[in-house]
Amino acid sequence: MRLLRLFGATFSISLRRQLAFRADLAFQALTTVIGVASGLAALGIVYTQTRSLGGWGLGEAVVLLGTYQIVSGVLATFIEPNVVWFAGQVTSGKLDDVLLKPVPSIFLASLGSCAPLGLTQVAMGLAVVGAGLREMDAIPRAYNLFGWLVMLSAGIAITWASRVLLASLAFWAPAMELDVVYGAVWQFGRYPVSVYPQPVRFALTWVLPVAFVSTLPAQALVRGVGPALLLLGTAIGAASLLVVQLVWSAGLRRYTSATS
Amino acid sequence: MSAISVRDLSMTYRAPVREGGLRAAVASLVRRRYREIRAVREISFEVGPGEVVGFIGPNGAGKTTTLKMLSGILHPTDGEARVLGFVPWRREREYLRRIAMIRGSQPIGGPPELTVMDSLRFQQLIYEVQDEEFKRNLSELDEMLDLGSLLERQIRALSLGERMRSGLALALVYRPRVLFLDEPTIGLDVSAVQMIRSFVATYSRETEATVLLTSHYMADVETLCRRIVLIDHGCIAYDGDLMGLSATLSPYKLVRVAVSDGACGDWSRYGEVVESEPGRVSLRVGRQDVPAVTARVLAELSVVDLAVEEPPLESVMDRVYREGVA
Repeated sequence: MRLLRLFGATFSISLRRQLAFRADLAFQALTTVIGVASGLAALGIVYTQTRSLGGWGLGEAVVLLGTYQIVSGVLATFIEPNVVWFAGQVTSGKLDDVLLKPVPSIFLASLGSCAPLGLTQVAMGLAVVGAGLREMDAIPRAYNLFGWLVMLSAGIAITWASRVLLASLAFWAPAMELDVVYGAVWQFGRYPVSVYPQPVRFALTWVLPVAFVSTLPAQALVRGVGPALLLLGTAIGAASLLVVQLVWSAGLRRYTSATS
Repeated sequence: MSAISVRDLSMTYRAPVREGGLRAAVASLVRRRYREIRAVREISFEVGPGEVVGFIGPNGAGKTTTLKMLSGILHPTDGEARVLGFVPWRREREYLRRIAMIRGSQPIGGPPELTVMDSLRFQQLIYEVQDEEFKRNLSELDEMLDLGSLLERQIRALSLGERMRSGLALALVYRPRVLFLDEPTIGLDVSAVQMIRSFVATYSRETEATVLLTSHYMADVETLCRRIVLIDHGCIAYDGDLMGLSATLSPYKLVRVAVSDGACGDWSRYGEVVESEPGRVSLRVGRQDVPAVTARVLAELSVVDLAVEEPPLESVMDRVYREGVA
């Protein structure tokens, strides 16, 4: 509850900061539109050649792209602004301030500030999901919608956990900047994992769980989801939160701050 | 019960070392050599509630490392510490709400675009300060730190002195019981230094907060602290009152003599000459020799004025820092 209020406060502070720059707002909206449009165009071109991609029809693939945009937007709004260049904070001792506050340090370090303009991506993602459903000519049943929301939440939890996990590697190897690698792997989420050949598909589901970010939620929405998968998604989401917490505490024990 | 209790606290950093040059750099990939840097070695001390203690020592002595362990930022390699009954590095919420660590080099940590008031409100939320208490504390701080004109300004536009005042307000608006002040007056001008000093004195007196303060300015320590803990090479070299410090550490006193006839002759038969000008001299004299020397001076010369002084703390510390504690 208290964390939620804190989260609200940091959001409002960040919004005040960002709204001061009107040009930024325009550019952010523009790049989001371009990004989504190019994604849709790519899908359009692929689907002139085939009616199905890894078993996914055009409408379904558009729903997936929209879902991917939503999670990407959440990542860009709430997570990235905190953890990018996290290694720098560790080596420069900037983390000291976070550690002095009577708030869970992982919360403050990974969600303590945000970039509200990233929410344009989320809004755009929602619109794309809507467009995909329209293309399919389908109105999702309430259960499917519920499944989508649960899987989406699990996907967001996994996204947060994996991003923070990557950042906390800085406690062990401060010179390693893996941000770019993460961004590259993230791009796999644009398409259903079933388009990739088997070893890659396995890796994208279980090693780098990109499948949980877009494929599985979208699947829940357009085809429904069995209770087993729903439970599995929730369990993996919860487990990832636990793991990242443990790694974070272990990392903090190694934190040596910086002089003065 | 003491507010701060430290027993055999140690911190060892492991730092990779190698010689200069490419060959050594490549070799270090295969076989890495480390040097253990023992920043703090088995120190023990106690601080009573409401005490203001000066924590002094040369650069690299381990002062900041100790403060960081006590404020929960660093895990020590060995030893124990309790502050207000809490183990600092467990960083329990109730503990962190009762302490503040303020660094003169970086008085404010938050986003620099915020105004001071916005930052204060954020502190209120983080530290769960009730609205009424917040207002009361703020108006008291305003009186002592003259915050009025600062509240509406952005932090990034503040001067260093203003930043320090705001930093103190941010750190004290939740009324911490223990304050760790790391070089609070570094880089400040004379009047800002005076203000900070009198503020810390007033705050600790009125709220009975315990203060552990490091500073390189002996004047900070002299005005604020009755007790001194001197740390050198990670070990405690002295723990006691300020007056005792120079008596213990400096085996000399300063004898200042002014004579009427201007005939000075050879001063060095009385003691080591520190300063001299016609008719006036400062001598460094061994502590136990002071009575004999003053008697001789008074008997042999026509003295106008004679004073026996403790050597200035700065010069005592300079000797200690360079030569170690005798």
